[in-house]
Amino acid sequence: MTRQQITLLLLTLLLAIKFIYLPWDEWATTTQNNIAQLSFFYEKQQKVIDNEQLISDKLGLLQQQYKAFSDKLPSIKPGQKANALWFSLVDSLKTKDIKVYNQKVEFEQYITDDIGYVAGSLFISGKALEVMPAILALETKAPYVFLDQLKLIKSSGSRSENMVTQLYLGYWFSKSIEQAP
Amino acid sequence: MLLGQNGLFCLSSHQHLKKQQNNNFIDKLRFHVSKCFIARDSYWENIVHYPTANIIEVYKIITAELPQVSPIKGHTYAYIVNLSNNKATVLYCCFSEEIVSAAKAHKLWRLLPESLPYYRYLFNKQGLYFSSVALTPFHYLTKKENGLIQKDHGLTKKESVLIKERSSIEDNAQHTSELLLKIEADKLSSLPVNKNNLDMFTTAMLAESSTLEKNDIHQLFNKFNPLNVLDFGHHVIEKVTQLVKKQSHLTSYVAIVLLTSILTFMIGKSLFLSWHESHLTQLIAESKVTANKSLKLSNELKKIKNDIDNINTNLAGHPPRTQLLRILITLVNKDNQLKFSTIDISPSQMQIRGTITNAASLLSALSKVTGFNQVAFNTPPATLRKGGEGFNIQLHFNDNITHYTYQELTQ
Repeated sequence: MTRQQITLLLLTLLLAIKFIYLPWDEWATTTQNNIAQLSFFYEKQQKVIDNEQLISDKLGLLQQQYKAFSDKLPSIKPGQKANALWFSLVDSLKTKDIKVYNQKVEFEQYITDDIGYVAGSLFISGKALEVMPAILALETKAPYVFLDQLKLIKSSGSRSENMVTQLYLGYWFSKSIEQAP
Repeated sequence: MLLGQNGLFCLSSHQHLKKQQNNNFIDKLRFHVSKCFIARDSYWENIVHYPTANIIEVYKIITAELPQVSPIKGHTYAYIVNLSNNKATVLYCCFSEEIVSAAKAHKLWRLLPESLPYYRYLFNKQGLYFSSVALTPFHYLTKKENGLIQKDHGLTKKESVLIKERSSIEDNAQHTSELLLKIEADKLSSLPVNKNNLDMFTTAMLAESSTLEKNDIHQLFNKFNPLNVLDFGHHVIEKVTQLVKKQSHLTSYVAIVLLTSILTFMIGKSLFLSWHESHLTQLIAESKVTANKSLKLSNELKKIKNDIDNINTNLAGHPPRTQLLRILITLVNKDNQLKFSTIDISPSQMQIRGTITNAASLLSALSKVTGFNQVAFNTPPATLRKGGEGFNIQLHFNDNITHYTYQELTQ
């Protein structure tokens, strides 16, 4: 084997490594990585498919619980504000013996897409024997109605109004979701 | 190993030598890849200096010089003694045909001149040195002898006695390799010494020389030198080239088999990878519809779980106040004449004001309620003219008093 032949052989070997082996190795590595990703995805997919019944059962249970809570809430139509609900709740407190005044809605906050609460403040004054049942009546509606802050003050005014109460009142509601046509 | 006109010797100890004579595959392999020093009386040598330390340039010079450097017939080799300070020192050796044939008979191919390790070790250490190395004869058994010893049954009495006698004679004979080395600035030379036949010049030089100690000799043969790696590489390349030349058709077959194996591996792996990838893609596409439905359900489950958690958190943050009022009512009785003037309940604390016969007892009673903490007077109790005390108490409360959870409501 002459020197020229050896040189040609080495050159061919180097060229084969550079233009055949290295590109092939790069392709093989990329394909292996791709296969690893696909395998992982497939395993995950199979896991989800295998657990479908379990997921479905659990979802049904949670949906029932969710519905049980939301069904007990007053609802508003899409686009409506919950202020009206809150004011109607406050109006339900009014009797001839107690005064309700300075009522105002502070804000409404959605906890989920269709369930939230509206909060506001108000004053109630009157005889303690009349005011306290009204407050306790609100408390009986808990947790759909909640008193975030409550201040009971013995009034030094007339006998017919010996108690002034400042309430920070919250009221849960649900929004009926529009059905797709 | 040291190969001379008297035969093959070993530089290692006698016991170590015996271990090497087991003739198993590993021992044979170790023997054939061992370095074999050619005794000084079996070659011609010449030291040449070149004004370059570039190994490629030195290689080119050596390649050009090698065919005509030796004045005698034989196999000429070149060894680099030292490369430093823009100077290369090269030792040219010409081994005689007989000694090369003897090495070939023993299948030894890593041939080195005996003086080379001395030159490398003593380079730049000018002086006249004398070295004496004890040698152990190496019993290289022929195939027949080896077979006979192994079988033992086929060994005739006469043959057995002959082999034993030969070994015993060789073992008992005193063998040494003695060298006289002259190291000067630009001149390195060596001379084999035969003490039975000394001339007057050699005797005079021996008297002037300093003897190398056993430790020095051991060190110069075993000390690592990068040039040893170069020698080994050169020997391997030479051996492979010889093999390729001799067994050209076999080399072609090996190369073809190797190339075919590589190509088969590459094609096989490529096919497998392509098939695996397309198979997985197909599987994923097939189960995509089912998986989409399952994924949708899974996402819905996650969302509803999240919603319920949020509702529970908010419900827990707004507990009913009835329990607090009920606790306050339980504290009122005729004896203590407790009257509240203000009850201020905020999300986590309560402030109460009013009158009572004993404010401290009220504070104590409130402190005992589970869920109440940091119960303290906001201002010191004031004694009233009509009797009793005015109080202003502040306390903190937590969810342990009572609260609803979503689950409790819906059950």
